Amino acid sequence: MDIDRLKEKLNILADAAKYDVSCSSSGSNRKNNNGLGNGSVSGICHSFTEDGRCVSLLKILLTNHCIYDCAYCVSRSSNDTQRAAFTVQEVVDLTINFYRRNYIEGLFLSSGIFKNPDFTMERLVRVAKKLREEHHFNGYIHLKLIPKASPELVKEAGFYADRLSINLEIPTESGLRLLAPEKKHADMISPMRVVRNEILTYKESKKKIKSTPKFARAGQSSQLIVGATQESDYQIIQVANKLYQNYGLRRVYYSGYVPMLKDDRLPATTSGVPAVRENRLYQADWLMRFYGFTVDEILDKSNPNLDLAMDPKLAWAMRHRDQFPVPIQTAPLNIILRIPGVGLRSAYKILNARRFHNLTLDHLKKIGVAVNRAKYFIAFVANNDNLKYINTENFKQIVQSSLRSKKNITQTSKQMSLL
Amino acid sequence: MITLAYDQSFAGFLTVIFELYQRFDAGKQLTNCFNIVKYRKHQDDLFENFFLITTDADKSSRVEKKLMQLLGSQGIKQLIWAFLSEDKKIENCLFSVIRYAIDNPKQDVLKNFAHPDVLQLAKWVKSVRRERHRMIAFVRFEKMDSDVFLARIEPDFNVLPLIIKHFKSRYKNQKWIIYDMRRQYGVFSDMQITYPIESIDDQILRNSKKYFSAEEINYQALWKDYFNSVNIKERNNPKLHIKQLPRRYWKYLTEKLPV
Ligand code: SF4
Repeated sequence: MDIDRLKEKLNILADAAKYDVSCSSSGSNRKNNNGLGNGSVSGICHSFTEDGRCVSLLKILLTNHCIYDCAYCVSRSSNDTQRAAFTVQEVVDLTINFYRRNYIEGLFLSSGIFKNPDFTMERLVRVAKKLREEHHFNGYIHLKLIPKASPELVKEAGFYADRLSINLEIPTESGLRLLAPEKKHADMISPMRVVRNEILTYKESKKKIKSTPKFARAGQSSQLIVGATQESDYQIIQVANKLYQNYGLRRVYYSGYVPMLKDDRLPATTSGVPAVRENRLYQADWLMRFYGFTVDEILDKSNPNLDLAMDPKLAWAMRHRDQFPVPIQTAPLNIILRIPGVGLRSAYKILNARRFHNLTLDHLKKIGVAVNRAKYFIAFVANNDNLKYINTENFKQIVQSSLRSKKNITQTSKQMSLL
Repeated sequence: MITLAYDQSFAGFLTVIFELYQRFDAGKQLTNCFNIVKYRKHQDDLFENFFLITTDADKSSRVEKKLMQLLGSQGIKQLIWAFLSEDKKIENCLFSVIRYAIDNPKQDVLKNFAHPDVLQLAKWVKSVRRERHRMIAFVRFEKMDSDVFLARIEPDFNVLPLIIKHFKSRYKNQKWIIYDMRRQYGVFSDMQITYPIESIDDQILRNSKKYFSAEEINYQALWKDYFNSVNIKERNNPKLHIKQLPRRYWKYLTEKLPV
């Protein structure tokens, strides 16, 4: 092995891949039949980077050569950067050897587009095929789909991979036209459609023929870049919602744009990473997926951006004082879920516990509710003193000032669910 | 107070429970009349009423059967996990819970968190589960020239028995050893069967580098490089980092070792 050359390639191609924030290795229950590895349904973080992200997969590009010139991408053809390309065998060897040492759960392979989309896609598929068939590898494989790749290759990819993804990156069509003139949203959407259809077809035939394998058993995901163009949060969550509704995506990731390229079309390189905004979008995403909020409840045309100073659920509650206080002893689940400071788990615990007791703030605290927020929004069987002096005029002020004294907004972990 | 010492095995502990009821009439006494300790040499000088209990397979399995009736396999699992914390007072805590279960055979006693020892037990289970989870993630194998993949660990709690199954189903086509440096025992898998091992040549454990397979250093270097190059420096967060990857694990984490 030419270790120095390999190191150099790995540095270049891992560095270029790191802006894809997805790291999940969950959702695979692949078994090990005397081969190497298995899936872990809930995923495993084998390490953590100094910036606080989970390291679960070997996340690399096959190559950062690219014929396209997307302004937001370090691999764009006009960028003066070092280029490298792995051979199929090199990626296979790295994956197997890292996996055997318990460094990783598997491989996340993406690529710049060299020659043409299908040529690239075929290489990616070949890596997965080799891992599965020659090395009997049952660890996690996440393959990136290449925009405009042919349906046949997409189907083959899903046969070997656990997860497939294709990044929409720029949420609006106009933004994409500006920054990536060679791409249209449709180039990314049509592979998504193929994946959705295949998943459904395989599921159908599994009902009849038990031995039907699973197609992309961990589903598909996508990523949106936040803050590279002028899109509003409302536009972003509308797009995300469509991806969930129409294409059955498991996850949409939001990646705050890291300004490092000089280009008049992009934010200045001196501007910061929009980390808080990114965090708020994840929270909005959770509200849509698990808390029964519709897009239009979270934001609307006259109010198109998430409040950076408070989480979107609290923001919604502030705008809807008429819906509160919620009678904790009797309200149905979907209403309980709307109380700021009450998470999914605590909501279910509340339903259980209230059969035995008349709940008090103390109970809620033990259950794990963030009571410093929740206390302004709940009616107990006994009086809630926190509501005594609140009226429509001072409501916002009281809630906000009590929270402000508790904590400042931190720029930390982005997937924290502060709901 | 009566002090009972045993050999630190779970079967030994169950034998103590057997003797407590058989010989010491524990059912009629207060739990704090008894003190169960892990045996150490010359310990008998320290305590007045001292008994060394010899582990007995028959006695321990009779207790196990009884516990199975009272607590179910899930309950026994909790006892074992808490036991593996090896805390100084864990035996007394477990004894108190077992006694509570025996006195209240109709109740699901492990759910009554108002009982201080039940609560304490649950806390230990939680801590041990957390370390087990971390070990599954943080074990790092090094490939030796004999083609065996060796991992050294030093967990706070004795979680090695709890992670074997995971690694057994994951690595079926490589030989591996996981060795607990602190407790000085390990497990070896020859791809078919796993065996307990009591010792490994100290030379190999202290100076594993000398026995690496040819490519080992290269893959370690590649992994370290990878780990560093995926970091986005603009977002560094040292406090969070230490929380996620506590310093005490760094000793065997390839990516955290100096080159
Ligand atoms: S096609 Fe992909 S790799 Fe190529 S420049 Fe665009 S985003 Fe980057």
